[in-house]
Amino acid sequence: MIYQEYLPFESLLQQVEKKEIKLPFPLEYTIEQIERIKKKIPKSYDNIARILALSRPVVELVLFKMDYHEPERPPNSKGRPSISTTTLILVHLLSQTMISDSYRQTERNLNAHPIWLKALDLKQAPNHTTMSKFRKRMGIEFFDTYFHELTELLFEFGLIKKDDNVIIDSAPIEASQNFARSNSGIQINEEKLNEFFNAIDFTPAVKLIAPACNHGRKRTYSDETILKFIAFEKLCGFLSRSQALTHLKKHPGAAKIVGFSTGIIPSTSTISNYLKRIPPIPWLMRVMVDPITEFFESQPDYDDHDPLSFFFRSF
Amino acid sequence: MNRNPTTTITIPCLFFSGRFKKGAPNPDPDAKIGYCAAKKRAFVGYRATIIIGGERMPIIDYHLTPANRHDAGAFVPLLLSMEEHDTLPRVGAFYGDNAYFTADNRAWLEFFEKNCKLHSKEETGKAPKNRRSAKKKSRVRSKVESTFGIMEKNYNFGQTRLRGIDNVKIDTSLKFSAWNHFFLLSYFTNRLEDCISLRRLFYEN
Repeated sequence: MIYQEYLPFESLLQQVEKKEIKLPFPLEYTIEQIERIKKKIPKSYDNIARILALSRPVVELVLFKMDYHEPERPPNSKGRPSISTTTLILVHLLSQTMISDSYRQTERNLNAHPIWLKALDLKQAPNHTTMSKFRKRMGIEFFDTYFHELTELLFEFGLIKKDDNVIIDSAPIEASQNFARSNSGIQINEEKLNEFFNAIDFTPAVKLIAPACNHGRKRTYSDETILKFIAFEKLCGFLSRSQALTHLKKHPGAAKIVGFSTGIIPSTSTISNYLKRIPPIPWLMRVMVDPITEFFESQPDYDDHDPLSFFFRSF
Repeated sequence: MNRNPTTTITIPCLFFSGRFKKGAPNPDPDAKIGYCAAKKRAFVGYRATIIIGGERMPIIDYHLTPANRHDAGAFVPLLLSMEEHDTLPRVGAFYGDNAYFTADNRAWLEFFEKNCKLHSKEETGKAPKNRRSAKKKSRVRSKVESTFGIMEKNYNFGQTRLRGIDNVKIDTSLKFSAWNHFFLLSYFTNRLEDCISLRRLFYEN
């Protein structure tokens, strides 16, 4: 909901004071808080410290809208009091800017600027592990909801016009790994691959696919082969589908294990066309989860603590 | 409605990624190879798709995929996410490059009764057929490129130090939250003209 059309902040304040505009409780309380903080900001504060101090009510408002409650401290706790969620979010937001590249650098920078610490209501910068643990503890849903609630505020303050045109585009994000090294030829343990495909029966997944109609060109590859190829691509950790297909072209032994016994390997677009005609892979593969788990758990080198062992992903 | 199933349905699936690979596993098992047409080079990582407001450039929604996915696949999840968060009814026409101009995406825009201003194939290239409309759309669309450029300079966007798609999603979400957060703060400090320039907001009075 948009509570008001865009107004400069000062005009908004004046109109709220004159009661010409009625904002809902949390928004009105927040702008009052911001004004109160503005009056109290010491002259020694630089721009960043001022912005950090003014950011607190905004973060608190978003958390309020998310219905987030600070976890209560156990009554007999002897440890150091925890850093509040609001402060940790502020530190995270600051760590995303050009001021720092990493949590360690954020920690160093904060400790080097006592004014910023004062604005954050801290005596000492949080340790980089504290920040990392906070990120892991909160999880993706928390940060995603935080983003959407914050965006909602922009609408509520009229900063995004109603029926404003929107633009969509994408940009690359380079991973933290060496491109050349990860793109070098992958070596596959063909023995284990063979053992896997001999042990696992893909029929339950194939049964979920509706049989093809007799019209049109006859299919070159069976549904089972396509499913096996997808499993092969994932299990061998290829960086792209074309990399997996190139590997099969170069290694006929592996191609035979996967099911391309004639030696003819499909192209990437052929695989994509097959995938378009069958139900979503995650839906098909859900019946395969138990046998695949059993297979890997029965392996002698199975490690319970290996993060790669259980790899739940949306496909 | 013919949804692209691989992009819109996300049921968790168990895969023992990289189990049969000899040697050390990839540091980031979710990062894939993609191609950046603008920079004319391949890269390993992820692709972030964003929707920004056309006037003041706040980020309205985002979607992260491994880099080996096509741009067009991110369009429907973004529309559905906007619908879920109730932002879709409040926005107008959609502008974007010709990668998003697929029949499926247009059908979804029509379904949501949104005006489609995506670049068509006739409007692309050095000698477009509809020169005037191509120029008009390009003028609106160019803003998003500056958003990415400013984000690269001010928010270290374009690279990540975290590994695994979940961690990268949190990192990206925080970056976009920071963008919107300082956008809002520029409003509260009566400096909306500096809403996208963090350097001015931080270092100039």
